[in-house]
Amino acid sequence: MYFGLAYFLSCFTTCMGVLQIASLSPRSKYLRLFKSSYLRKTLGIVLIVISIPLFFLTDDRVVSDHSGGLDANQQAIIFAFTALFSYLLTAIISQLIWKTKIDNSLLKPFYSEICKNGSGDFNFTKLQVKNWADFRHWITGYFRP
Amino acid sequence: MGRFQALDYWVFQAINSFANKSNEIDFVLAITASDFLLPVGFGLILLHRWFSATTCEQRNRNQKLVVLSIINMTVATSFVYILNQWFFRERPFSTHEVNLIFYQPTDSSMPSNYAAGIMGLALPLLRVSLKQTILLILMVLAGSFSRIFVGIHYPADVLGGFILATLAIPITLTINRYTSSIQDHALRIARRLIPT
Repeated sequence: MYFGLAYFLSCFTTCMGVLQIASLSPRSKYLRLFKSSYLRKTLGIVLIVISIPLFFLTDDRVVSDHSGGLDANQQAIIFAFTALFSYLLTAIISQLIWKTKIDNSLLKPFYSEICKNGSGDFNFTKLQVKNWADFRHWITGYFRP
Repeated sequence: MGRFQALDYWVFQAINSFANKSNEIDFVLAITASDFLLPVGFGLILLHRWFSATTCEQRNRNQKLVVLSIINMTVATSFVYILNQWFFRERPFSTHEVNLIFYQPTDSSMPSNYAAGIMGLALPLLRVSLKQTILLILMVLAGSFSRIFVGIHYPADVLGGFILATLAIPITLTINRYTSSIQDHALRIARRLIPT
């Protein structure tokens, strides 16, 4: 398998695991994949632990970036992208399974901006749609006469 | 200088002589020394810090520490880059008979970019909690020891990396002070997109 793809998959698995452990915190409740905190913690640990042999035992991973590996910049970019991707996927799956709403206290600093034209109950998708609409409005504002 | 280099080589030999004795130990330490295990481990710790706060104050502190950690790593590795423009030290396997169980890097051995990077990431996080501090120190020590074990660094290279990461702290704090308002603004946008 292409080295970068293997790295991406491995990082993705571990990031999902870490997010499940982080979802034990009440502020990240909207990232939970299971209701039981014990199951979330177990899933998190299992995902982190299995990704290590999945990556290192499937091929020779101790290779230089000149021989098919990844240099530090590529690693950092792939890791950041993977972390964001796993976050988005976890939040969307959690919303689909548990119909989770984002706690209003998390949106408190932006509440007046977000709730200008609508109700205050936000799930993850609705919040991102609203963010996108506000962003478009902000950008097009510069081009209006 | 000669005495210091002799001592450095003596410690290197003492550690590297254990390589090629057991396939299992070699495999585990080669993975630990690899460019993937510990850097990803540190990335995961930062990701966990970002999301795991229970209070608003804790969240602010954690997220600022994550930013500080990344800035410190960048400054420390920049020091290594700048230093390597003038100074080049051959790798142990280029000048001595060693038990090499790793690929052959081509950049300068001194200071260790890897040690500077992981120490740079770890230093700002050390004051968070005792449990995490112990974990971070163990990770840094394991990573550094394994780089000597597999035959690609002298102990002084690793020490040089640690010193550079420590010297980077004042610069990181200065950058942090002058970019504080930009960071606050960026964090505010990030929290709206990624509620925490």
